[in-house]
Amino acid sequence: MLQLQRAAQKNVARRLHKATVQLGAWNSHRGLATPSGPYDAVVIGGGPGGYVAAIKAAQLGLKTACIEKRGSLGGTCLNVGCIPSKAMLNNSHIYHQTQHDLQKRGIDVTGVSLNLPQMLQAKEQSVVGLTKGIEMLFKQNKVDYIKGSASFVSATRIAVQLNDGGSTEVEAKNVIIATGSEVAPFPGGAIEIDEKQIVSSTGALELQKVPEKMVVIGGGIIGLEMGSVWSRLGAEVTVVEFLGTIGGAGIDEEVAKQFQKILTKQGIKFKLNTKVLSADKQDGNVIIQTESAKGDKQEILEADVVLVAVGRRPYTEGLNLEAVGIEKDNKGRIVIDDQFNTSVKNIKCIGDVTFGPMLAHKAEEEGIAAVEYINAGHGHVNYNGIPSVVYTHPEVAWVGKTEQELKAAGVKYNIGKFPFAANSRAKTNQDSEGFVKFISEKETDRILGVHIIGPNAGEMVSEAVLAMEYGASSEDIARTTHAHPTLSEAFKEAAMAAYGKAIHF
Amino acid sequence: MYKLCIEGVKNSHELNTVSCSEFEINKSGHSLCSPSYVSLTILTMRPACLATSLARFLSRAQRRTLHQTRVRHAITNLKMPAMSPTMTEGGVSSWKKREGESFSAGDVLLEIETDKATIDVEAQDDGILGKIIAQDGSKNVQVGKVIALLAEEGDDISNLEAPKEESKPAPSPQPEAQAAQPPAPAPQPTAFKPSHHPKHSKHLLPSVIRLLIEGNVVDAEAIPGTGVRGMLTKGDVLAYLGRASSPMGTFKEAKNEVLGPKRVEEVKPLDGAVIRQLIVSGLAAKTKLAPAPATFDAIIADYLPPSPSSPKAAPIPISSTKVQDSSAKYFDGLL
Repeated sequence: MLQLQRAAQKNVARRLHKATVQLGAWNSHRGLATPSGPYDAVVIGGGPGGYVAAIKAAQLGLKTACIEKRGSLGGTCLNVGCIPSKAMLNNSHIYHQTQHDLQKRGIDVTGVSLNLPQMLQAKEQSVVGLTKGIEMLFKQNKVDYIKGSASFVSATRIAVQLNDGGSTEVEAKNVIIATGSEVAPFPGGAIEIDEKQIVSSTGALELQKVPEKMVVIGGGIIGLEMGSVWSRLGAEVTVVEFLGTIGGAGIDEEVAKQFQKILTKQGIKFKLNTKVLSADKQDGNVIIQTESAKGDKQEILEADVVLVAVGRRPYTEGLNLEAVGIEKDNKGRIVIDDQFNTSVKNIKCIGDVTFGPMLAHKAEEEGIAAVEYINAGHGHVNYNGIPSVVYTHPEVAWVGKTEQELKAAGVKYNIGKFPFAANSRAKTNQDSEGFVKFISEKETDRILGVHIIGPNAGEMVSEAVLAMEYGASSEDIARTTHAHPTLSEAFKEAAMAAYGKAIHF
Repeated sequence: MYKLCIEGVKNSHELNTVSCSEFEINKSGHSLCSPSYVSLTILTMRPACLATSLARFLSRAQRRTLHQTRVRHAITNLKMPAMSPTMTEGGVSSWKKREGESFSAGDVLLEIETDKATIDVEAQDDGILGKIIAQDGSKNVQVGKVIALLAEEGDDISNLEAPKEESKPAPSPQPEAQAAQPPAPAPQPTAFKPSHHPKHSKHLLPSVIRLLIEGNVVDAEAIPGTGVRGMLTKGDVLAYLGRASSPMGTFKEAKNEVLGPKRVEEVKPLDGAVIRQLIVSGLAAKTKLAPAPATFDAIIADYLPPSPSSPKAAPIPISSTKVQDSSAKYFDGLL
């Protein structure tokens, strides 16, 4: 009875809430001269930065529209980036584990085989589900979703070439550009991407056959993730990287070294300090000419598929920025100030198309902050607290400064490290590669950076982000209870090691 | 055991005591009223009888739930409330309800004596005053100490006992004095008193609490906080105690280093009043240039490169030093 009553109360409360929300929405519309009056905010681009900004704007009571030309929301991340690659990473990991790992755990399986079309379909399903989900969110929050390509007519007027044919124009008091980025072509244009044999990250998610030999140009996050996927599914993968370390910008050198060791053990080959000169198709294969960075050694590689993962570049095509005089820098990024304002007064810009790391979660935070600036005149993104994650196995994740950066800046620091090999849960899971590394300021013990390589590092790093957001010291982490037995105990023990001593190591 | 309970449910109209005792053996009476119990019992039932008895059982389970919750779970601790942000302890002036007496929300339960005033404490909910722990006239009861146990209507309160840990009498000055009596105990390495627990209007981080205790900081509010919304960080306390050079130590935080160019301050157009003011002050400065009758030296000095000894002309607000420098260079070769 009591439960019933409570349920009834909840229902009434929910209905009441809904009613007031509707009332609010109605009231806000009443203020407009005509129902088709100008939008308070128009967001160009429906990626993680754009759609989050649009929903936030609508939630704050602004009349909002979002223009997206892809035909589905979610941008690169959801359609051809983070999400589908995670589907492939997860499922290829399960396949690989079933083949090579289950036996030692006491599970005998026979007849394990790969059904690649099914795996690709599973990936597709999660993508479609999620993009449709955002469309629902738009409806719920009353964001107008305009399917088409936007182009500035004036600072407050945007022409949209609709995907279904025809065109329209919208008036906007405020515009947020969130057009994101596209795959950067190989520098110099020596390699042409055909998305069949010479692929970008997009094509690498669509390969219809597991390649026998695959060469990945670029040892950054995308290259390592996609390399991992096809290596697990049976390809012989060679990663060619111009720099001396893998893992991309901002990775701690010690972590990068350990990471390379682990991936090598998994069967991926690395050619560091190596420059790719050309990639030519010959008799169904691709011949890749490489040269050592110093230029003294040349080598020719052969592969059925080449993945070009040398980065991404800002995407502003067709926006007609010149018409309104929006400034870009020499890398094609839209120039903004610290309040996301472009050189044009009512136009803001967020995400990959402007400065900073090209990360979905960074774009999301910026989208929310930009909308808050429009709505209330203030917003905030803490650029020191943006985590990076590589979703290989083991995962690699970090936030804050690396040891090298601090050394260069002359900061005195303590290091606390704890290996997963000494963590009980990692041991019981028989998945104990990697470590947690804390870097804290020497005098004050304040956490300046946390670098994790190990199982579930991507989830674990959030604790470090939160701690840094609150200016915590490693002692604060060390004095916080972490459930036993969990992987997060390794995190705690590394904090203990940073300001004193770990218990279990 | 689950099975047994179901039998009880099915066969007995006075099932409460049966199933209750069964369950108290097994699950210490805990989950009787929880949905997991209901689902568990359903799972253990045979499908044949499931359909027929499900509805009946559920309705009974709910009735039972109501009945069972009375037993012991409704006992709540009434703690010494903090009547003001600064209050750390208080006294019980008098209880307005007797043990076993029922009250409803809003009734005055007791009067609390603080150093400032005597304040009524009202009940938040309906219930019964189960047991009074801090009797009338108790003094110096720490905020948060249990002062009474509250029960709900129909609960068995005959053998209520105060919770063990919390039932200790409020720390009166006596035991402390006794503890201090024994002849000079061996000097402790750290001389912090266990009774000293740092208080602050904001949440304190664990490291901060330790440092405040160790450093014997009495007034933590005096330390400026650099954390989120003024929270104290470990660095703040260390810097306050002189054990760190600054709250961030040797680390210098770069502001928004990700972003490119600095925000350019917008040049605001001047309005009439300001322009008039500027013109007047500019002209006034000009007229003050030659206060004394002009001598040859004074006139030629304006054309000579500035030397450290020569007195500079009165500064003209608009011209910058840069202009002077370049003009000096302009004359370099000529003079």
